[in-house]
Amino acid sequence: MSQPGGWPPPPQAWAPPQPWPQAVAPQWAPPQWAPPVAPQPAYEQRPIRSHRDPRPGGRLGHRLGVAVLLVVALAAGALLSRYTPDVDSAQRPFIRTGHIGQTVTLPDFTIRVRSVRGAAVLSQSGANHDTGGVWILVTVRLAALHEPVSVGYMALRDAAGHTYRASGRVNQLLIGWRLQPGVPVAGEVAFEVPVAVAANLAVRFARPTQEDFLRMDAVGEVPLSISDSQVRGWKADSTPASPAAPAVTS
Amino acid sequence: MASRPLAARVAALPLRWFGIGAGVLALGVSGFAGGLNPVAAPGTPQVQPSAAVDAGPVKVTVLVGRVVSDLSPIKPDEDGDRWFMVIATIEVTANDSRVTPDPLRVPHVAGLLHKKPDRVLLSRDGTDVDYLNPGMPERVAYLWEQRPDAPVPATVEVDILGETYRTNSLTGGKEWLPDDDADQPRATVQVPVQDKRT
Amino acid sequence: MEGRQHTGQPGRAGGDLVTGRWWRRNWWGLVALVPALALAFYAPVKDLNDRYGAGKPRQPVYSTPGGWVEYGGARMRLVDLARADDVKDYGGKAVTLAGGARIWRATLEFAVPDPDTIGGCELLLESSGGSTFSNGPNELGHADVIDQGCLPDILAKPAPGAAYRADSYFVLPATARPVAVQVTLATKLPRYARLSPP
Repeated sequence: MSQPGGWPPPPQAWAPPQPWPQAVAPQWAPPQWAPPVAPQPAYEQRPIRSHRDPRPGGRLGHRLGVAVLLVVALAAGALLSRYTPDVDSAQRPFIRTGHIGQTVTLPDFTIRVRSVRGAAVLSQSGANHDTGGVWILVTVRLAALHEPVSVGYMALRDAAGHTYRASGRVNQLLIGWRLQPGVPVAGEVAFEVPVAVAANLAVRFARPTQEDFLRMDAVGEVPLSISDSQVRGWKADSTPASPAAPAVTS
Repeated sequence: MASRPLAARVAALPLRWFGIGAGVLALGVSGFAGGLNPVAAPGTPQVQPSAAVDAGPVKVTVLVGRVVSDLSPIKPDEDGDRWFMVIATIEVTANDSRVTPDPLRVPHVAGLLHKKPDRVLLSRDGTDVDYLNPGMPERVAYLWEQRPDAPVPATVEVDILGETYRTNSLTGGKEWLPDDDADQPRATVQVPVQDKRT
Repeated sequence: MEGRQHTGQPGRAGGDLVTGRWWRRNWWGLVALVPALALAFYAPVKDLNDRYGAGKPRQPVYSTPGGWVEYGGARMRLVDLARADDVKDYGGKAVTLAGGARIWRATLEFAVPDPDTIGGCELLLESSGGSTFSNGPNELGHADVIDQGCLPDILAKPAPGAAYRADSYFVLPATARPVAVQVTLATKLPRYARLSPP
């Protein structure tokens, strides 16, 4: 193509620009997805062959540890069962004590021991009853509190823990008498005990008629102040004593 | 794998094997010590009359047997029947009063209405025994109602049953309960029978 | 999966520690634990309480003063409640009680097809202070009175459903003021009839 007229000829020093070097010609290609590369951990990787502790001697130590723990568990169990209260101890009755002349208050009734005497022979309804030990006669006043209640358990207890229930050889109307609230009843209860224990006795009263049912129940206890000389005197006296029948009192 | 020392190989054994092995070892030792030998059933000891027998909560001394026609005012259930009785001394060795101790049986006496005694009386005053108290031995008469046509034996074999102080499985508390083998008496005694019929 | 083990820290397993994050995530469970425990104990405690209460008279069937009440298959009412100062013993002597105790008589009227169905009733006299007193007390053991309870006179044979009256006696302290009679049938507990006097 010829140059347009009138244009001055290009300067000689101008040379057409050099084409781009082929080596740096840009060639755009879509980027390719490559999976993310996990960071190189700073620790050693090993395949799992066993879950056991691989340390040398660890297995034996583990076994010993198990054995020691077993022994400790057994010992702890033995200690617990040795020092835990047994059923009889855990369910023992609740004892409230007083002394002669004092009112002992239980949840359902009150007790007041008025006096105590003894005899070698008891008489009732024309029949005499002797004993291999000595008769103990306790005068007691009982009163219900809020609803009718019967006192079915009456016994003497000696210093060694032996109990002697009220005698069934004579009619004991006070045992099982249905007490009315606010209407006190007094009477004499007869017990038979060996002579050797007669000077160390306490009398006990409770609602249930059977000793097994005393578990966790309330029991009133009053020590009887009896001397050895009194016991000897009672044993030596052959005059029959008659227990006083129950009667309403103030 | 390189060969491991014996201790390491033993230590590598499952724990369960150690447990089973210990159990087998214990059985074996027990067997050597006679623990697996059969035990012969004990026989009932025979005691002399008037010998005291420990029956658990009471000590029993059987004295004599007796046949009686009339024990008025105590009447038999059926008219004409008589009373067969065994008289024994009973002493309570337990800590508390015992309700009507009833340790005696006379299984070879003919004509009795019941196995258990029909009445238990205190020899001292003829009253029914409600309780017997610790440390106070008493002569007690055990009465069985007997048909009038039954023969009167010259002697009677009396079984003495026992009780053991053990845990009641219902309540968990300890009490006197009949021996595990209730049919096996603690002792047997043979006593003469006195014929006191009128 | 490959395992991981920190070299130099043998034996330490991975897992979550109880961090502040744990508390933030689980606080609601700890708060809910309180009502959950309460609910867990409520049912057995209530069950025990219901069983205990089932054997006690807790649910009264009220009557109007002197009015009839339906209870245990019978109709009943309190006709009269008054002091009985005229009670005598079998020797004809007036019965007096020490300490100012008084005798009260309650007259009830019943209408029931078969009186034996209520023969086992328990009668209690209720005082203004809340105490209760049983009929036929031991204190009147020598008194010449008949405590009928819920039954008609022993010689009377009322027609089925016909009304009959029954007297009962109680002993109360001088200061007690009776306000009602409770009639209880064991098979109908915890319900009982509370009869007010006219």
